Amino acid sequence: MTHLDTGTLADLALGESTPEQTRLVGAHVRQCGRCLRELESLRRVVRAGRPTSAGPLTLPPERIWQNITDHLDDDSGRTSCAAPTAVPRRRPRYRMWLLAACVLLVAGGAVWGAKISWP
Amino acid sequence: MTALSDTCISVRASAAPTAGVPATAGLSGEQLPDDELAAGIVRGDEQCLAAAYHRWGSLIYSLATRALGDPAEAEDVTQQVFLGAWRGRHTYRAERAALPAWLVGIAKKKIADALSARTRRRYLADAMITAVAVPTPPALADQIIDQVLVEHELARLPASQREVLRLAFYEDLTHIQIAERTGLALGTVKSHARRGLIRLRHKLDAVPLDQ
Repeated sequence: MTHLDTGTLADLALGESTPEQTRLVGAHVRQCGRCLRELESLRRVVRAGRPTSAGPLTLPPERIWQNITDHLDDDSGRTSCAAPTAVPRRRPRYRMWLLAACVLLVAGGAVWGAKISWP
Repeated sequence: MTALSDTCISVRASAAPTAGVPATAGLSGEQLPDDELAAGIVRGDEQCLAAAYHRWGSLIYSLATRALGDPAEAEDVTQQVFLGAWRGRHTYRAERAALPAWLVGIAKKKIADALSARTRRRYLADAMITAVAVPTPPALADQIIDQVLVEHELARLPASQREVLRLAFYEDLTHIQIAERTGLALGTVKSHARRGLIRLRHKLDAVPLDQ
């Protein structure tokens, strides 16, 4: 199968195709996954480029890099005999509450179900 | 400081002699392709990390700022992303992700962690009283990532392509209107728009959203 050239797909993604070109491209991409994926990639850019209230990127304050360089040496990779400095992970407490909520829900459902079965 | 690679030493030598400042390494690092920068980081070359920060620091910081809406938390996340990349550099696999995609992937995790922590703080008190389950925070919207990526890459396009695409995107002008506004020939506008868009597309393709 011959494929559409990327320029033609780019025109369509930018909304610059004539109705006739749009129809032809549409007919092709219904049959051709590769061109469809390419068109989708181009549309992804156009969607993301449309005006938003977000404005331009924000320059990070200089102190961020300073903080990063201050902590680079925390890396123990260079001293082979040093024990890995793993930060102990606490088990998040919310899991316990999540579990409790699930138990309550199941228990509640069972009671409710029992009521329906034996009115 | 860890051993510097030949690549980054030579690059560094050509830069202004203010070592340690990202702009310094960044000026030189701008010349290095992404994959060489990645290889330098994996080898433990701090100058390559500095160059990567110079190239993608504002991208990651903007991503975090927009996702979290809090500059202080965004600062913290940005710092965690680059330190996380540095400490996890041995796990980087070039064949699995380009360097910016890897950094964005780390940023997504750190942002999710920050949102989870925030949600936990907010709901924990309620949960203790009513046994309400803590809701899972929403994943970082793909749209935010794409917007930041496009903004980042637009700034790196050749000026002519950038100008045409900005008018097409931000002012929603047609090619004909852009030609009238800029005085460029219609064919030139079309060719700048196509080339610019295709280039952005390749940059975004390198950061798949489903990673």
